[in-house]
Parts: sequence; structure tokens; C-alpha cells
Amino acid sequence: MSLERAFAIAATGLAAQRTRMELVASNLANARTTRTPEGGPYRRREPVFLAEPLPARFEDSLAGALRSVRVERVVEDSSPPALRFEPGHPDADADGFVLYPNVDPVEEMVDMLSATRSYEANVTLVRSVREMFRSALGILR
Amino acid sequence: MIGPVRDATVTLLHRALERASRRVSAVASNLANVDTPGYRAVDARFEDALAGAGRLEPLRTHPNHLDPAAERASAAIVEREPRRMRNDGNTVDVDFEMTLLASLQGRYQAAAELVRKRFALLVYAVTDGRTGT
Repeated sequence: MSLERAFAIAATGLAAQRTRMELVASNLANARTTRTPEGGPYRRREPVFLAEPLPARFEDSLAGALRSVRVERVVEDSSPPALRFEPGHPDADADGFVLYPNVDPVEEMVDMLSATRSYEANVTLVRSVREMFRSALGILR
Repeated sequence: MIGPVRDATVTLLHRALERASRRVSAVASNLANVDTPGYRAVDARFEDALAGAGRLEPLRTHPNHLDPAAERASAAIVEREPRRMRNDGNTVDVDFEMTLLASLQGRYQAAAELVRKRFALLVYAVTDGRTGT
């Protein structure tokens, strides 16, 4: 039934936006992290969304161009780290410069708002479909 | 099938329910992919077919003509004519999807309520008018 399919698709949207939100959290938490196991400062991470056909159990001849979404992978922002002159810092180089993460808190806040809105859009759909289910059940009353 | 339980009205309403729910899954696809670069919004348009459903059936005078019954069954979900496009190639318009969703929900619930009333009438008849509709 199409309504269940709508639920399934919205669920993938919710999951993808939540992953995005978790990455924002990771970026904000590490906005000033100068040491990582890989060496060097923390690098900003962001998700890559991929639209993909529905799982087989929801696929039929009518599904056509319907796509669910998934975080295909997480990529590191390749922009250069910020350089600050802090000679007293334990991670300062010979010239007294410290490499800080390429995280801009303002940018992260905007991304967070955008992820929230997209998440809410999917929640609205789930609510609507739930009401539709309810009215379909009402036929039996 | 035409009969007291599944008459033309119920058939028509069933079709309306089916179409609304199918379009909702297109909206679901668009909202899930609102941030997917390059994703193109999809839709299934049925209004025209719905307006004539149950009354006017297209005439097939040539084997290459679309079979109306098959067309109904196979009306696939396709890319929508883009209303606008972001720089990343995504053509989803959230406001449009939200409005469409609200309208689909309304249509679905109206049709479901009409089916309910229709059956309630039957119950009214078979119980000799002792049950309220």
C-alpha cells in the first residue's frame, strides 16, 4: 500500500537528517580540537546524501521514480585549517602558530537550522499519513 | 464490480483514495530528498483521469491506443516539471510539497468519510432503519 511506502520513505529522510545533525554536533564539539588520532587538528565533517530506489519489498511497477534517501558517506571538508598565533600553546609549531579546525560555528548553526527544518518537513508528512490511516480505519466504524 | 456493496460510488472513491495515497508517496520521496544534490522532484498526476472516472471511458479504436484500464493500473510516478532549481540541481520546493500534502490529506479524508457514509447507508437499510447513519 502506498501509505506505508510514504512512511518508509519519510523514515529514511528522518534518519538522514538526524545523521546530519549528529555531524553538526561533532563539528561544534570539536571546533577547537587541535589533536586527533590521525594527527593534526580536527577537520569539519559533512554528510553526502544519496537518493536511491526503495527497498525491494516496497518496489512495484508504480513506484517508478520514488527515491528514499541515505547518507552515502561522510566526507571531510578539505578547506585548510585556521592558523592562529599562540606561542604558548602546546601544539604550536616552531613559529608559534597553532592549527585550529576549519569549523565555523556560525556555518554550523545555519546547517543545524536547515537540518531541523528538513527533519520537521518529514515529521509533518508522517503526521499527515497517520491521519490518513486513521480516516481509512474510520470506514470500519 | 457493480453491486450493493461495491457500486460505482465506492469504486470511484476507492480510486480517489488510491490516487491520493500514491501521490503522498511522491511527496514523501521529495521531502526525504529535500537536501539531496541533483535530486529531481517527482509526482503522479491523476486529476484529469479522476474527473472523468466512472463516467467517460476513452474509446479504443486502434491497438496502439492506450488501454484506459491498463493506464490506470500503470500510472507511474515520474519527474515533475521543475518549478525551480537550486544550484545543486535539486528541484524540490518544500512549500509546494507542504501545500500539496495538506490538500492530499484533505482529499483522502473526504473520500474515506464518503465511503464510510456509503456503507453506513447500507447498514441503515439492512437494519430496517433502526441504526442511525
